[in-house]
Amino acid sequence: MQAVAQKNITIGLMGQPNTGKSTLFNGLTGSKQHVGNWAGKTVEQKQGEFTYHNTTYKIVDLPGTYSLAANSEEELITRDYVYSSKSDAIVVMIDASQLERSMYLLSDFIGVHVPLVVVPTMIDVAEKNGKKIDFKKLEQRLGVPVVPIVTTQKDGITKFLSRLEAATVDKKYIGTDFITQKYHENFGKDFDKVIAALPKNGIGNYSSEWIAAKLFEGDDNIKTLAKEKSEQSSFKIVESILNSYSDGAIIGANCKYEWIDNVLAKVVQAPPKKRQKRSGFDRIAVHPIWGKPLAVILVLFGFVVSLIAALIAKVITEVVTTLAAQAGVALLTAGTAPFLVSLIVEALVPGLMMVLYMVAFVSGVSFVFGLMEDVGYMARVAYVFDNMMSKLGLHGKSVMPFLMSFGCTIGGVSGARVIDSSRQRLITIATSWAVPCAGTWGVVGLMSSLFFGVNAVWVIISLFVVAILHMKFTSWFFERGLPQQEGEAGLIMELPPYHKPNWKTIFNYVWSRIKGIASKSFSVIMVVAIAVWLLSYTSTGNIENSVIYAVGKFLEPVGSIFGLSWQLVIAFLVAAMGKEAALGAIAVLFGAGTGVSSLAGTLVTSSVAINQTGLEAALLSAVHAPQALAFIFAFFFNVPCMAAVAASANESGSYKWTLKVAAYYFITALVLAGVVYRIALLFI
Amino acid sequence: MLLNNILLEVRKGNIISYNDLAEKLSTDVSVIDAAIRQLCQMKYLYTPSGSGESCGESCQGCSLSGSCGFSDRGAKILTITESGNRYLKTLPDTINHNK
Repeated sequence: MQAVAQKNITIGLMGQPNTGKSTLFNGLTGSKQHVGNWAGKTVEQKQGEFTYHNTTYKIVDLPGTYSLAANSEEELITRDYVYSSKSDAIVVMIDASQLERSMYLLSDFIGVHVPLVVVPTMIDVAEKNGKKIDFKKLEQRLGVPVVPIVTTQKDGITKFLSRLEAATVDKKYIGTDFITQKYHENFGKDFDKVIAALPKNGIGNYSSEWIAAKLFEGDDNIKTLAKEKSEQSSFKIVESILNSYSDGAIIGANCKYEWIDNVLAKVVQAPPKKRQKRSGFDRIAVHPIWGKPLAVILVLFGFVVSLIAALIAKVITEVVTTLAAQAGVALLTAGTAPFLVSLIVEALVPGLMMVLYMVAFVSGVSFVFGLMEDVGYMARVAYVFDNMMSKLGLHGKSVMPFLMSFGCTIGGVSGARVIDSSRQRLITIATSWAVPCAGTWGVVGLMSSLFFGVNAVWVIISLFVVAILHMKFTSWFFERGLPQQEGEAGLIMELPPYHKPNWKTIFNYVWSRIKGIASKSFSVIMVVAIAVWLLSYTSTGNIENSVIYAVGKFLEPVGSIFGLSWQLVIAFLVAAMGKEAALGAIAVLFGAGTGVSSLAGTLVTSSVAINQTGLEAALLSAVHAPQALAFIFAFFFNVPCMAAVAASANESGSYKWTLKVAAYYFITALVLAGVVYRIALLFI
Repeated sequence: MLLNNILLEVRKGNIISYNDLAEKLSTDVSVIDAAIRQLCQMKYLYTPSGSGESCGESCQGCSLSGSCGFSDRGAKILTITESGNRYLKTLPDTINHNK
């Protein structure tokens, strides 16, 4: 390099990130560099100098960019620099190991009137990957110098400087013929009309073709610039043309990819790719047929594991309620008011125990789902069920909450957290209420076998058929009110590799879930438990003296439309508190259950002493088969329980939305009961 | 017409990885990655929150989003947006494998 400089040249150095730009910049400028910020921006600006053949080269290190779009501050800075005519040449560094991708940046230079020098780097990586690149052919195709270098090798740098010096004299640009032809094919005569309305020699370093392409792509910054520099009347024509090209961006990008294919044809030779093979387990996990049963087995196994915490809570509940009952007796003996004892023993303690049970169940479900997510299996479940669940307007992962809901709706609702889309999460929560939980089968089993004998199987089959239709309708119904934030079709694009579980991550996740649900469920469950207690408490234990009896009798004429007597109306209302409570409530209502002074007390199933023979006889004498069928449907499709309502409010973050879902289930359950009742009357 | 072909393949489903898609469209996986990011920027494709890192909302609103390790454990899920579906209706159903 010479010491005495006679002329000055300015060079812009650009390229996508990680192409060795900084290495070349440091290699050329050494210590002659200074760092500042771009005017009015927070982005760092590096400039430096070097001398070559009596010429001082001022080199500006431009921010890393993949294109000349204006999607980021960095891209905007680079584009403004290119536009502003400050440089005598621009050096564009491209990654030879990802040549096809790097070429997109070059495609954005077609029509830019700044001399270019293209510098492919990472040649060693490309060769290691078996790629052979014909750089001479690439230079011919592009029409500008292409100087492959290894930034750390001095002879490469010398060759680069020689080509750079020539480039500032030759002033070569990338040929525009091919891409202009593509723009004509796609935009037709409109492309020429837009060009005709723009300044003949372009604006700054941008040719009118380049500006026209950017206008079709919907680039607002270029539109403002073009409007400013064009005649107003002619630009109005441009605006009216552009209004009919809402997809100009994708069309323009397609043209650029076609240009890349054309330039790189026979320039790059790559070895044939080996198909990636999956492990034995993973082959089954993503298999279109075997993947489904495997997922069902693993999810059900996970459900059993998740019940461990719930079973511990159940034991605690049994112990606490037994102790509470004994304490209640002691309190009564000590002269405490019976209503106060009843409130504590039959509403407050059962309510608290229900919160405990719910928290325990959610922690179990969260642990199992968290583990599946963490090891990478959840993505496989989503993949194999995606097609099937999409018929319900849901994502593949929705199958997991549904499977959990067969055990307990709380599990299903809480499990919906694994669904990424908030919209689909809400639909999954709403539809999971229609999946019958374990608590459903006590009443359904009793009443269907009692009234229909061996034909009970048809009752259960018809319940499942209606449940599927119900879910489909529910999905459609709630989908309408939700914002369309994403499209219809879902695609699992890249399955993650399997990982060893990160226990800290999983336990953090479980803890966050417990914290969230405990406070919300406490308020909802306690309010409902106390309300039911208030409505149904009698000092004698005779339900006919309670407010809820009066409500049931008052509603009986309405209930009869749906085939429900006053007892069944009350049982239906109490079932919304908890389906497990319904059997005890029915026993009390039909005079075959004792041991509680309010229906809230039926929440603790063991507290009601049921006379099974008496209950069956009372039901058969007081209820007709069509009424029984109507009640089975009303009960089956009713709000699952107040804990599920609390969990839904927690997951959705909206009491309003949750109450809407509850009202919907309440109404549809009655409507279905009414329909079934009327049909049954025709045959039974 | 690389971007058109990607959209058509996404609509068909059954794509399990970027590699599969690259192989199907006879291009490099780095191009597929870039093109999918571009389709997300253009709002023809959408990545729901938390699924992969490419173009979604990335677990917005979750208090554990900073420390949670799940974000790289999920599949990258892409859905076609309304704009994407509208655009697809203007295209023929066939894939041009020669791009």
